[in-house]
Amino acid sequence: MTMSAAGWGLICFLVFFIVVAFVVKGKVSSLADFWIVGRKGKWYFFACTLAAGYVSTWTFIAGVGTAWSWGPTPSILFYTSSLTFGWIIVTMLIGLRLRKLGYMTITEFYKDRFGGENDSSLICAIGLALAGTTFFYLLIQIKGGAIILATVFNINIHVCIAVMILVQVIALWMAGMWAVVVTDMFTNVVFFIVAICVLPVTILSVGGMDVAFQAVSDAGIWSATGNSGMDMTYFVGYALAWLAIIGGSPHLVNLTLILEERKSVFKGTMAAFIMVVILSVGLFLSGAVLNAAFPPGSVKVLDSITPLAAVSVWPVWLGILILGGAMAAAYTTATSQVMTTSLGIVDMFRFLKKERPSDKTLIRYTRITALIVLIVVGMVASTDLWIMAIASSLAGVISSLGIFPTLLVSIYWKGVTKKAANIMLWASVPIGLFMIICNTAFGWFAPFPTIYSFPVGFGGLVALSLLTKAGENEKLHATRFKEAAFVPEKIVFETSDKVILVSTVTVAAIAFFTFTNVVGVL
Amino acid sequence: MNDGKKTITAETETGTESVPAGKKSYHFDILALILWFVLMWGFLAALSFTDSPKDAPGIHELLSYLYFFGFALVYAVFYILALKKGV
Repeated sequence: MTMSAAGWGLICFLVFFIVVAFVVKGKVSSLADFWIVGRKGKWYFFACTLAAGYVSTWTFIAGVGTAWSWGPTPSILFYTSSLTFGWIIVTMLIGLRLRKLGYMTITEFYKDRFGGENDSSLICAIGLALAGTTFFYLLIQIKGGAIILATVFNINIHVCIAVMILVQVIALWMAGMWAVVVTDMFTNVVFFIVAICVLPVTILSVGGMDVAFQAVSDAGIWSATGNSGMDMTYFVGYALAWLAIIGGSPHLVNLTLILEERKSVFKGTMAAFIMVVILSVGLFLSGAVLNAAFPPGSVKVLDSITPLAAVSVWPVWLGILILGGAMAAAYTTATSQVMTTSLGIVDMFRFLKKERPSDKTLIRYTRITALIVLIVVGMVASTDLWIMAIASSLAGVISSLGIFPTLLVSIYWKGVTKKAANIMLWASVPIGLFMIICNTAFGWFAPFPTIYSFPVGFGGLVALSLLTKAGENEKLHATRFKEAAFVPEKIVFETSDKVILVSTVTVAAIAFFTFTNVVGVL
Repeated sequence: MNDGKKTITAETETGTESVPAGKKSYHFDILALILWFVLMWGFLAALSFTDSPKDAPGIHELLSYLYFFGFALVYAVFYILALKKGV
């Protein structure tokens, strides 16, 4: 494939993102439309947006490179808790309950759960913790997308960061969450084609099954840890980090709030899961198979394996789809995170101003905040600061100290007090930074800081709740929340439910037997 | 209309709201907790305590595919629970 073909492909993707936003901007007539698509989201919207919000540039670029160097299983192991229990926590245990109570934002939940008053300290703490958790993850997406553009067009990365930001600002400015959701639908079409085609096409491109898998065996990169040099405790730490990142992921909670029907949480999550797991396993096995094209040690920068394969191994159409899919994954994950961060900040104005701003003003605030957030992220992403290398770890540590425990525990335990939640949310960013800096500089909190931040986050919240007292109003609101969230209401069992259940399990079984047979373990 | 059921009333963003008090259900939550202990830690423990060759696909690959593709069944169980017991 020539670079110009890839370049034209990426330009088409970028133009399409703006066109989508332009087409759906007419659907925005209220604040609810701009923030949560008017709560009209169908299950397939949710499935697509959940998959697109989860799949990132890592999946297409670093994941493939890691699979080429370490082996296919270590890359798959990174998903041990995020795609599985992380999703169950974020959509079924947290998102469903928040959706049931009709909240539009995460801040609304905290405000209502802890007494319904406009407590400035708590509302600012939520804004800080939301920004702290999503900001660092957002950094990786913007930089990842820009690296793809810079590689393909061979231009300065700062220009590419500016392009990524400009397209996002235009799309979000025009249509808010509608732009996110409809773009995610399109992105999933690309994911679907890649998921189905990537492994067979890669095997054919490197010379067939025998050549492909002999190269993986010769590289000695099979087994759980492969050639990573890590022991299993590293993967345990990673599993905990990503349980916190995804389980308490504010942008994924926000996506649950768009749903029209509550049972769509289950339908959508199940459909998204099977799409993501087939895509990921296919990509990582393909990454390992690329050892037949690029012998072990021949490529120094792992992130360049995907662009190299797009140029010299895969056919033009697949190269364009994979590079475009990688950029689209970065774009879609980033847009939903920008919306979430912006909502956390705009909620400060909504709840703390003496007079509640009008819906029109709040939409304007959201647009301006998204612009500012993206400019700040772009400025940090343009530097080579050490923080870029540890951004995802930082997001996990901050989340496991603040947002994740406060969100999860206060749903179940009425005893969580506002003071305790407030302290943990404020403390999550500085303690998270402290842990990561010490881990990077002195090797403290090894092998992975989340092994320590989890007990600090959950233990600190429980201990502080036992040491502080809740007011009467706070207790009343906590009781009301539990009643509304946990008393079940019947839902209708329709034929489409049976179809989705049977077809998803069947697809999973077919995928299992296909992959195990291709690899040769069954 | 008060049909005799106990309600919890609180001031919210949209005014005074009441929710009926009833029997709370934690089936999703308990199931998720049990499965997390059994499946996630069982999976990681199984990988830790088994040896798999590096020069050929082996038990680790089989366990990984079984865990990830088999997890579709876990989602199916949650879905069925929601349909049977309500949410």
